[in-house]
Amino acid sequence: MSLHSIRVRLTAWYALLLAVALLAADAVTYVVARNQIERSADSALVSSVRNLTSALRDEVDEDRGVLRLRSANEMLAEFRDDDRGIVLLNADGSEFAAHQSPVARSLDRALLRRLAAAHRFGLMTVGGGAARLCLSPARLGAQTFVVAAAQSRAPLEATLEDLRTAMWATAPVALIVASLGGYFLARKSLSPVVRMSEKARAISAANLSERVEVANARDELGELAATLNELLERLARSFSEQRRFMADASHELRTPVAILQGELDVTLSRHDRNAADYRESLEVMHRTVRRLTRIVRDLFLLARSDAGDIPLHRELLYVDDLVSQTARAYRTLAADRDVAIVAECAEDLRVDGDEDLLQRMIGNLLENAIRHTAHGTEVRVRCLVDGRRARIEVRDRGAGVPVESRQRIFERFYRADPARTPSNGSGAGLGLPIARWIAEVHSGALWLDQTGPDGSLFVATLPLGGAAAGSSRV
Amino acid sequence: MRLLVVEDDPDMSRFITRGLSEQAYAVDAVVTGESAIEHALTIPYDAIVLDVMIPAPDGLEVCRALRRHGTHTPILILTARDAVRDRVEGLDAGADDYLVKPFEFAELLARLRALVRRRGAPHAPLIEIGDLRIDTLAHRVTRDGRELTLTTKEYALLEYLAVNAGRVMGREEIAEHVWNEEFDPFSNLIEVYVGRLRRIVDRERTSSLIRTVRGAGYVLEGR
Repeated sequence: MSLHSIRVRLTAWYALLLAVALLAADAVTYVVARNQIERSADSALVSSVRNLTSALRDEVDEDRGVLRLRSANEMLAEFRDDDRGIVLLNADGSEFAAHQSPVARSLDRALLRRLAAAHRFGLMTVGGGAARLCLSPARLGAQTFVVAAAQSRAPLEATLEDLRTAMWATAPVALIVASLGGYFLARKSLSPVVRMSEKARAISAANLSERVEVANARDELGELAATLNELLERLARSFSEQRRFMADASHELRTPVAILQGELDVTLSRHDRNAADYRESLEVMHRTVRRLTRIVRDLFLLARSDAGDIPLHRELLYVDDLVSQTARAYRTLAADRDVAIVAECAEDLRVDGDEDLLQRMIGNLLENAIRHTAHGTEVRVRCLVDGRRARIEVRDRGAGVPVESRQRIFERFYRADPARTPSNGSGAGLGLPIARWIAEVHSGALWLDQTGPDGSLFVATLPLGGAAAGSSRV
Repeated sequence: MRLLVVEDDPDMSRFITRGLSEQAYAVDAVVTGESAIEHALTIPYDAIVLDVMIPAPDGLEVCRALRRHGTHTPILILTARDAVRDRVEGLDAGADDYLVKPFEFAELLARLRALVRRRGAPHAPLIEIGDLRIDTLAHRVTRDGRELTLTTKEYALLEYLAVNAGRVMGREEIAEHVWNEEFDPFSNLIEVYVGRLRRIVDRERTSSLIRTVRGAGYVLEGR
């Protein structure tokens, strides 16, 4: 368990907040309790002064209208209390009678005289906070007295001390119990995360089909698990695509390499061959090397396109030039199959693109058409303006693409006809996927527009580049 | 020894056929699975070299079809896929062996020899009949220590008779195992070759190893 684990940090924060809250609550409770206790002590003091005064009034000699010292002492004894001291002062501040209690003894007589003389009546704290003093005038018969009653604060302080002790004792216990509880709660709610991370750590390329467990699909952790699983799903898919690509690519490379190896093995196994035999072998190998080169080049392009690593050398190009140059390059293949290429292009149709790639796109479409069109027919190429796009159409007179293959012909390595095409100009099932990819990196599109027993029509569109001649520009 | 090669890539087929023919095999080459089944069911091949990726039915289906029809001809499949699953699938379909492209031609030859040997009566690479010694690996023939120079076809005929030494081999059997389907059954090619072989092998000797059994065929026998 690391100090940085979420469980520990959550618990620490929780404990800290709890400690602050506990302290604040205790402080408020303490202040309120102290005020309450002091107020009730004060009112008890005031009411005992009032009671004493009225009791003394009853002791006044009705005939002479004076309070006798003896009666005053008796009454004071009635109000005797260890924590209380009462001094009865004459109007001039001199002592008339007093309790014989420690509190009464400790009262500063000079202070009392001064206060009484100055008529400073009311409640006050004296003796450096040791006692509360209540000074009150009392008219007893004809005489005026001042009652000075003092209440020791010691019992009150003792009560507050108990309260403080109780608070200091309970707060840490509450804090510890709550923190432990918080820790276990955090651990319990985070345990799916621990399980998820253990599971995720165990998943590698070999078992990408495994998934983390979704404990409760509706809570946040369930959502996290589901997100993780979606990520794994995407990874697994792209991984298997990659693996299939590798398998297909190695399959495509193996046949030409096998031909080279076999042709060399067989040719070199004898010494008595004539020049014609050697020439024939070399021709086979030449053809095979070209086939190999082409596959490697296509694979390279696709691998780099997957990595997003193809710099486009964009320039303004005339579509009819692209078409006629490409058609020239495919004349030999077309002648071999007794196929004519007929191009019909709008002039001044310009696109902004990479010349090599666009020639390859048109070339792949042409080659596809030449290979699938019937012997002795035509492959027609048309280019025209279609809104703000250049539209290139390649039509063959072949047998059409079967329904189940119409989407799949744009998949890598897919061949509608499982029979291998002849070695000359054979494709590895990469021509159309590459052509479509080239159209797309030029912000265009490429699709199979029509297909049927009398041929297929492939269409590529590319955004028009620059200002086409003839269009006005303000 | 007569072989069937099933391969749709013309360049693959070309070197396999040529290489095997030069090793004194009689080879028929076909392109589709359909004609492969047709050939294998009518001609008693000694072995079949079968590419998996051929126009339907593919190599594996051809294998299954042949085994279903009770043909036990050894089958060696050629595959461009080397995943274990693909190889297992091939062997389970009834193939006896497989070879992953690309391969060395010498390995194809060795595997074919092993397949043929495994099936028929096992014979040593060196066949001795009297003072005639045939090294079937190097295709060298000596009689009484003296080396005999034979053409590929002559050697193939001699080896076939030697492997079946002591048994009378009919014209039809010889044609099926030593020649391929271009053999014209109405020609006297077999007689011509037997005559040539006898002249080379039995030259200047009173005792002939190759005997003609009238109305039945030919037999190679030591004394």
